Amino acid sequence: MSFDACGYTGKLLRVDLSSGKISVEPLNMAWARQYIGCQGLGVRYLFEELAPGIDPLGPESKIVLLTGPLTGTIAPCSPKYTLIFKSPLTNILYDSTSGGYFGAELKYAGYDGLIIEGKSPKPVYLLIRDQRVELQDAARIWGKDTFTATDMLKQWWGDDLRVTVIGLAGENQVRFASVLTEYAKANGRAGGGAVFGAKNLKAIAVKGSGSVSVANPEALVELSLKLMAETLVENPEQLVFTGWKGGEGTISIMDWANDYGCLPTRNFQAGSFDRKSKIDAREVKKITKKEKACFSCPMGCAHQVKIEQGQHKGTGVGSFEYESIAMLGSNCDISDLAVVAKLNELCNKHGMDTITAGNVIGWAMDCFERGLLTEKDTNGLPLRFGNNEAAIELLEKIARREGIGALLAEGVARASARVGKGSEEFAMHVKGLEIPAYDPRVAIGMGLAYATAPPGAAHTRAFPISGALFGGWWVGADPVKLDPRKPENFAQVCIQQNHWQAYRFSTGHCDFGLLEPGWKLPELLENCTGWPEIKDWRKIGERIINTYRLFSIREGISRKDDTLPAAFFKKPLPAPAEGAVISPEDFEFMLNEYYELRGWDHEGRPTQEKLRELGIQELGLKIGVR
Amino acid sequence: MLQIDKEKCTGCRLCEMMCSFRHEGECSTAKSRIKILKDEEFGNCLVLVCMNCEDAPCVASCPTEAFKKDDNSGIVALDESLCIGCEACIGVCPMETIVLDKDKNTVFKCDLCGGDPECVKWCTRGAIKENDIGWQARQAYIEQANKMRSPNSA
Repeated sequence: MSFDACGYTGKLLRVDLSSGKISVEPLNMAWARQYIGCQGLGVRYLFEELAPGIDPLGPESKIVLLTGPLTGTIAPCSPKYTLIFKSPLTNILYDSTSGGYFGAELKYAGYDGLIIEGKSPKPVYLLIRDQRVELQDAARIWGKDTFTATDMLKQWWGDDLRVTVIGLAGENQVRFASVLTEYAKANGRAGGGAVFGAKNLKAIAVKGSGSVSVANPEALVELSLKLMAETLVENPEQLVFTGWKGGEGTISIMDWANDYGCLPTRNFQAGSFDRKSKIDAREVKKITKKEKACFSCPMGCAHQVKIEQGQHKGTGVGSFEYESIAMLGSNCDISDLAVVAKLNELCNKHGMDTITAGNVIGWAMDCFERGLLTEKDTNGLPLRFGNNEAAIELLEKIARREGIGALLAEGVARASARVGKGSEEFAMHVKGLEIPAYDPRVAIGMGLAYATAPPGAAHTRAFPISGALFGGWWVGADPVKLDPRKPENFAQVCIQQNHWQAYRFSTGHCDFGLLEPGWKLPELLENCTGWPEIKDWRKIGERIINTYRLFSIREGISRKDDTLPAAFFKKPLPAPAEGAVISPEDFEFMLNEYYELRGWDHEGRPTQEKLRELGIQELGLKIGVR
Repeated sequence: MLQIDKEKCTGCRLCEMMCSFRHEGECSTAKSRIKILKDEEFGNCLVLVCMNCEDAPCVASCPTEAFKKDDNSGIVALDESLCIGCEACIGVCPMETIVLDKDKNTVFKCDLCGGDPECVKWCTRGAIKENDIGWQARQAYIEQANKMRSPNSA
């Protein structure tokens, strides 16, 4: 092999949609050593390649799609690839990860990733078959939903083609449009699908017949088998949130979320749902047909469901998850599981993020009940909480940008700015990204996590709520005690989790992977790449977080944006978490401590000293950090 | 010999990768001797691997006698050094599990890893087991697999 690193193919595809030029270039291996792959590497590429202030939906925006070194190798639970783009919701970066088979297939075709730039004069899709890479006319699949378009592409090019595709929402540049792969998995959040649509790019399809080498095959096999045995055989009970051994999947979260009072209900007005038992794990189990796996992972997390009777007979969802069920269910006061499945199916079919969709519908219903939106605005649609039919019709309207749908397709931040009249206070977002399904008032550190998550309100960058509710978290050798309602210690826990998550999301390994209990991911990576320094997860994670931050600062983000919707500061929750609220003082305390421990100044800007420590001082100089 | 319980398969394809890894030293699905077909829309999986047919058509089809069936074990073995890459076997295999290696211009098929099959070791779901269930049962699986693959079956 002429190429010096294992785990990578060393090649990147660059596709200029404006000119139709397709080229292959070497992956920047110096950056790969600093940022690994997926999230980290994508953030670095876009920091260098995007001019400040560009329109995410304009021709000068870019889409970076990257795998990690573990993707497509025998390291178990490592199917991931990531879409990195400037989000049309937030105007800062988002890195959206998906599982399935697409990532591995891309590597077998010979590429670690691709960079897509420009705008095609007409709808196209990118077809990759090993060295043969072409832009194909998408006239016949433009306007088709994601399921149909996937079917057609597979029919034309073979069943084993791996497809990632946008639906109507992406074509119509709904700001929270997703990119759907293999009927069920998605690069869901923050509007990657809208960027595809704005570029006239309908789909990417790939078929690969090559392979990936690893540095220390024997050691990697031994470690992988050991980790699988430790996790799957010896500790199966900790995998209840997956599909392993009859695991309920992520919907198992709903039980504790409801008990502790952090299950979003009626646009976050409450934290527990009186009809929760109609949409919980027991009910989902009744309609589950099969547990489906991603590439290289035995867990089988995806619970495929099908509705077999009633009005919504035939409705199917390939991967029915807690976040989707909570946001489209309790957050909209909807307790008919068939309707929740229908809403989820529509999100998949048209290509929309289920979290934002549930948040947006919840906010619209909240506005309607308060009289801030009337039947005049909704064209006669009675958008009351719990109105099943209205929610279904609303989603269709959003995907098509029809009537009230055009307003809501903008996301809650823009929609509430337009509606005004105090509706901003209960528009539940951070930096323009809608809040997912954990109410932070119950464990206030989760508020810090949302406020400081690099791309806006994401639950996957730090998750101190579980440490706070279930007995502490390990930052060093001893567990850190967390009182859910007190501000102490949350900053250090968030920071450590930020670093671990940024690291993990840069490798190709899944968030639900085997390894967290043993923290063995760095060892897997070393055996895969042969680079000892890749084990330093703290430093690599911190470097990624700081690079992410520098990009945001360049776009104007500062302390004022690291905050939460007013409702979390002003409106105490009802029972069971009665009175739970985040006091502004506690929040300031956490944020100050967070900046301080990070080596950031009072405005949340990394200091030159910190950047030097991380070996990225030149990035700071570029944006004027002293 | 291998016994397949396709209902238990979730389609993770670790078996494919380990098969290629063991035989070729590379992580790949194209160089695997076992194939997982998965209907993503419905989640149904199909495990395709050599069933060591009783009256193995690959043996009869091979002009160079590269395939031999062991009378005692019933296992069909391939001597790759005899293969001339004519692909006659590929067309007659009822499981379509004989594949041409375009680099070497020889075919490859499951060799049960010489008695310690990797796919069995890595199938944590228990969909692939080492067990001689008899020709009748294996034949039934071949028929079932073909029925599932034919376009008119649901």
